[in-house]
Amino acid sequence: MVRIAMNTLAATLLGSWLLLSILVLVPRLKLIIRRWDAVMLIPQWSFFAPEPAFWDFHLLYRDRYPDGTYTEWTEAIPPESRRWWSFVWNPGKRQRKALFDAVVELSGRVQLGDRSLEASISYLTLLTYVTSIMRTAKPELMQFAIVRTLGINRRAPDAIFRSKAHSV
Amino acid sequence: MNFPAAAMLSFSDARLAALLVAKITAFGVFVSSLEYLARPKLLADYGLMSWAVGQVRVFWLVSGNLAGPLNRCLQYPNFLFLLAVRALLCLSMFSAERVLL
Repeated sequence: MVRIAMNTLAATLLGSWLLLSILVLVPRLKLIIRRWDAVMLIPQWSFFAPEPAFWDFHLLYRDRYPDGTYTEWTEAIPPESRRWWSFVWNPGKRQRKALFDAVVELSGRVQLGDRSLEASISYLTLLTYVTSIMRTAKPELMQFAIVRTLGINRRAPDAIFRSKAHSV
Repeated sequence: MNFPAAAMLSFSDARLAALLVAKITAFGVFVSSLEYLARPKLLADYGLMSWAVGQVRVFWLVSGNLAGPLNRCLQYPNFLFLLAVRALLCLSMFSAERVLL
């Protein structure tokens, strides 16, 4: 009896999850489902559609010290070289994926001219991360930017976003 | 091409197929859990996957009856414990000899 109940419960939960994962592909239902999917349980299977991701994104920051001098733009997450075992063990990809997701969300908001951009999760995430980076001296202000590149030296880096200066 | 009948029968067994799928999935989730545990700062309050920042996406993740328990489970470093438990559960699935169907 317990086993039947457990099986029914599992089938109901997994069936509902599967059904919602299919229904989210319907444009009309997508917004409704995503609105209630606060913890993002419903996967996004669009992969390479409608536009494949061919850009590499880089998070840069610079500091301003009390004497008015600026540091050079510095990459917050330097690229890591791939090893032969990276197809199985690659912990760095989690950070790159998190950066990619935040940048994609942020650039989408920039394109839409979102006035509440600085209150968005993606902006706050990047700002918090860049602010937390260890420095040798405490800056007065800090600014971050998103730069995109295409392959290696195939095209000049393109700055797609520059934040306001924030006090640290 | 001839396959031994016993091998064909065992491969077409639904329970065996489910067990192998579960084991392959467990391997993937195990590696994923260890990858997160290897770079725990990603999940810290200042990390790119910070719960402290991500939870402000919706109001009921910040305040209300559900916010407290969720916070205790998902805030850093408590979440690392959940990942460790997930990794251990995956290990137990490697040694499983049958699935409940």
